Amino acid sequence: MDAKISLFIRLVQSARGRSPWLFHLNCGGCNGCDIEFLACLTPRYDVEQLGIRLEGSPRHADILCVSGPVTRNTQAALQTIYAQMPAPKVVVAIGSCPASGNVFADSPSVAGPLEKFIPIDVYVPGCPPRPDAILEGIAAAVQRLKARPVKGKGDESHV
Amino acid sequence: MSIFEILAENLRQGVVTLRYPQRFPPPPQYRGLVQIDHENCVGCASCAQVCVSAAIQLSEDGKTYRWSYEPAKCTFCGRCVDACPTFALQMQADRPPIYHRPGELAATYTMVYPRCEGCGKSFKVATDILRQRSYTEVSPQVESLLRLCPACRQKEAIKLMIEARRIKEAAR
Amino acid sequence: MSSWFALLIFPGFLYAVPMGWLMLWLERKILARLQSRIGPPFYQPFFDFVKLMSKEPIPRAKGEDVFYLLTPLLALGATLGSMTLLPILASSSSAVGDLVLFIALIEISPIGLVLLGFFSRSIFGQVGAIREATLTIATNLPFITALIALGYASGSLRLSEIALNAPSVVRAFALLALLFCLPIKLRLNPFSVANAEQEIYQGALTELDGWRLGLWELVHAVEWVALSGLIVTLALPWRSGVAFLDALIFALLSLALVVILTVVAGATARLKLLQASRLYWRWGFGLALLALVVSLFPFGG
Repeated sequence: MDAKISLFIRLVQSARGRSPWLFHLNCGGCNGCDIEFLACLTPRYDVEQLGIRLEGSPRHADILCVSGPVTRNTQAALQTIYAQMPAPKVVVAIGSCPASGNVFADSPSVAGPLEKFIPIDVYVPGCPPRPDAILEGIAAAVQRLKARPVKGKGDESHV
Repeated sequence: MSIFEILAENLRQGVVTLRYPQRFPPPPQYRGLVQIDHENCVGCASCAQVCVSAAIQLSEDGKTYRWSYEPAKCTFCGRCVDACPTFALQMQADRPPIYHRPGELAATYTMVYPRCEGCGKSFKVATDILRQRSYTEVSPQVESLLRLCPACRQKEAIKLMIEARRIKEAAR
Repeated sequence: MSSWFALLIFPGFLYAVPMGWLMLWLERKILARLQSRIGPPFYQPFFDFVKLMSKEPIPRAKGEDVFYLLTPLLALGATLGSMTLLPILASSSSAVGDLVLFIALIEISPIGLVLLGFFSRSIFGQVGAIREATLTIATNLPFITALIALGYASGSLRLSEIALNAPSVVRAFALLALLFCLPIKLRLNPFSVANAEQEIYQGALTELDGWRLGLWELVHAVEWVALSGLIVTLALPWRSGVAFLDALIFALLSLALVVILTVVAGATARLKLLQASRLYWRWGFGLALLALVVSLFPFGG
């Protein structure tokens, strides 16, 4: 029975690693990182080779890619969208803005760096980061997604 | 060209994707992480002055100065590299690495001031590169003077001046 | 006994689900190659499904989950049932009027999608549902007219007799009309208005997550097999009599149809709702009407 459960867990974790779906959110950024992120979807960098699909709805996604410092206007939207994503999920902070606010850090319209609102798994530094750096960050996030425990099947030691 | 001709050309050309983790290296002038050369830093704080996002900060108490760099705040503009008078800063020509915990890539450099050979107080010393810029050749006398704090150096210099004048008077 | 076999084994569940996944993969791969990309590996739709079923879904209001469970299961059952009616093998049993039953069963899936869109109480779901409903009406007109033309020309409402006896001219026009209807039913470009990703956050499926979405993706895969299977079975005027050979030809021609549809999808952009509806009301219906008119003239087999 144990062997069957662990085979099941391995299958589920393998599936999570091979089919991570992405949702992209711009929390008030300048769009520089968004343009570099969209370059990842182009034929040269092609995230689909890793099985990743850009999804239109946060409820379908496993990975949340955030760019931009979190402004006061987008703060509520960010928290709603994060809450709408079903577990297991990972967050990738693209660029320096979500990590610290960058040049906008003490601005009155910036509500704070991203870690104040949601837990972050991978930071991709750069202003903007290159598409291959974003791809590396997403691949590292997928590894973290694979390592998430498979709930309800008893074996929590696969973290 | 009609769309079908474009598609046929795409099929003929084949796949242009870089298979992960293959990648093109960035050009040599790429602005990556800021790296400091300890030997050339004089603690002038020009980099902290011009940094647009306060990623570089310099703090001094009487005995040390501390240069700190937080890549999470860095916008990779290169103003610090331009402003540094002694070329102590340069930018790595490759992309900064990804990290998982906040502050993981932060770098600091602390310089402890030496103590004056005369009075024992800490003082900010001129580094080699400044000496080479100021004096064409550094004689042992200048060397010994530079190991004193400014107050003791003043006293020592006056003593040397009086000594030199006495020797000149005696020679006449 | 044999209808259970048809429902569960071939061309039912055990054939339709892997074949549907193969078709979904083929679609993505061909689109990728047309765009000079690599595209996903061949096991991708299977792992998509496993991943979706293994997500921890957000709890919903009481009673909603019953709806989210029953609607895709109903659509799945109906689509699988419609597949059993297809005259793939020479020995496929068919009853009088199973053409009508086929049309009824194949429509349950779009209706289910419309219901889900409205049920999800989100504005995007409603917009997606409205678009899906409009397009379904637009496509059903030529779809049913073409099938009526085929039925009238072959003098029977049995799918197996239509497949074998329809006169070739009527068959050609009607199949063209049916082929024209397929992109809307499969939600492909240029008519993928209903599940526009970036415009309405995927429309009717916005609020589905985890297993709720996984079941719908399964229905979508089986829909591919059923609809392409309809065209293929109605296109072949003979059956070889050897069951394995018939099944193989059926599978290969279905895949060829997927290739054609995907190339068209890759070459076009999404049309607006009004443009798409007008296109179907004018040209799609015109083509089907032509098939109907031709079927009125008695041609020889």
